[in-house]
Amino acid sequence: MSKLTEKIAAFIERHPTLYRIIFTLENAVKKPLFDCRECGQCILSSTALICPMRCPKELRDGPCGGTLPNGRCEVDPNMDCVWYLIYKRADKLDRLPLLDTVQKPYDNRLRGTSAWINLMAGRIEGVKLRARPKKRSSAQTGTSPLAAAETSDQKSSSAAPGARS
Amino acid sequence: MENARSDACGVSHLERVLSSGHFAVCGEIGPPRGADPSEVLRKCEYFRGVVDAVNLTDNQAAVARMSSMAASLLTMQAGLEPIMQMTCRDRNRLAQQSDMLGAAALGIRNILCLSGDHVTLGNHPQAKSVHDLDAVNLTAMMRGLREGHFLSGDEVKTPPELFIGATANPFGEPFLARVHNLKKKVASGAQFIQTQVVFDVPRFEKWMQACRDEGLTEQTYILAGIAPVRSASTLKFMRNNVAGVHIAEEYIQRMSAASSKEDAMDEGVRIAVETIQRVRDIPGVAGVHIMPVMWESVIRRVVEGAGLLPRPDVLESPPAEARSASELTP
Ligand code: SF4
Repeated sequence: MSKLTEKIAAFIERHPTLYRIIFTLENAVKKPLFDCRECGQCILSSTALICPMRCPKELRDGPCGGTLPNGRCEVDPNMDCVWYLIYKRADKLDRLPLLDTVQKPYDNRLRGTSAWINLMAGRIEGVKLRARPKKRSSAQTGTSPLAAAETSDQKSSSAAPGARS
Repeated sequence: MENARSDACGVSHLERVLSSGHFAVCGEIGPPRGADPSEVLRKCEYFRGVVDAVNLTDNQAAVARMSSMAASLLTMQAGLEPIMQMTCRDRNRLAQQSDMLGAAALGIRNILCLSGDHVTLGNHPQAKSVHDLDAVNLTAMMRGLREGHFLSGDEVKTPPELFIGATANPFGEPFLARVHNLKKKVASGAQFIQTQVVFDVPRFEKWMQACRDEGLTEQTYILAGIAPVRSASTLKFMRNNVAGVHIAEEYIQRMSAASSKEDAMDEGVRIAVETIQRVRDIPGVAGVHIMPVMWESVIRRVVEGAGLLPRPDVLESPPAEARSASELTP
């Protein structure tokens, strides 16, 4: 972010009450909408607006090997695997290419802080507005995995009646 | 492998076997739930001369056991090459790096990075589940160590020589995530991949096809997971209790059809051998990783049955320039 936003962020951080007001505002938006877990290093824009920190393993780079065939979580079969939901939503929003970005290791110092202010301060990466254009030729990216994903997704969505979208 | 090289090079025996174009065979030993080294040594006897390297699991199924590093060292003492597994469940990035340096100092060269079963599935569900890094970041961190820097960026004085592996589950949902996941791991430095057990060859084939389309089989060695089972009930147990395992109905029926215990065991071996032969025909499959479920003694029968004996004898010490040549950079 720019020098100006960094200055604004520094100002806010010097004023705890102001910080709290902004953070409360952020939470008021992000909690009900995205079930945000206040990780402070927000990657919602590249996870189809579903917070991956709901995953019991807090995986930010995709699902573990244990997702159940019906798309539920291996740890708690009563909940959907968040990565299952992310892939389904990303497919709908046409943002699948964003999901093969390797995420930075999580900075634990940011837990419980405001991602908006961290973004202004330049501590975390910006918002990804568009799925990045495909770089490789279609022969290499292969339409088949995408097509395969669609078919397997359609099949499994009917197999997971409880799946929220 | 299509890109097989005739000259063996690499930092470990496993890497040399793979880089010289041989079809690799790995085994797996679960360290004991006690301090008796002879249990590891006894199991090693089944694997010696039958596999190229053997995995030592890291508190598998989130159950506390002898450490993977210690068991790896015992394995080396028994004359076998270990693949040390390291999960993200029990260690943060500091512990992971220090354990890796320690393991390398002891002579361990193969490392397998995985996320690990969640603590709530094991025998200490009250434990703090760490998951500081995920398996992708862990893989990248290991590559960093080999290249001479810690995750922090600080220099590693003597970088460890490592052959870095990761896992993949071709059978989990959603399918595309399974391909992306591998892509990320390969981009982060995974030189070999061990997959979840294959009990559904068509689905595995489809996943391999997607991997080939992404060019992944050119950048990493994929070893298919094989599990010889001794009874229909073991198979059913796996289907119902082991996360991420997918078993086609056909195999359960075949195992259930056996008339006696011995018959079932024979059928288990037949299925394993047959699966090895089928995956071997799939382009891009570089080897197999055989995980006998509580049945280590069967390993020779399976490997022999699949026509994979004797195991290749590759150079003991690689030429000096081998290391850089062996690094499969994406
Ligand atoms: S199944 Fe999905 S939500 Fe559950 S631990 Fe694995 S990745 Fe996380």
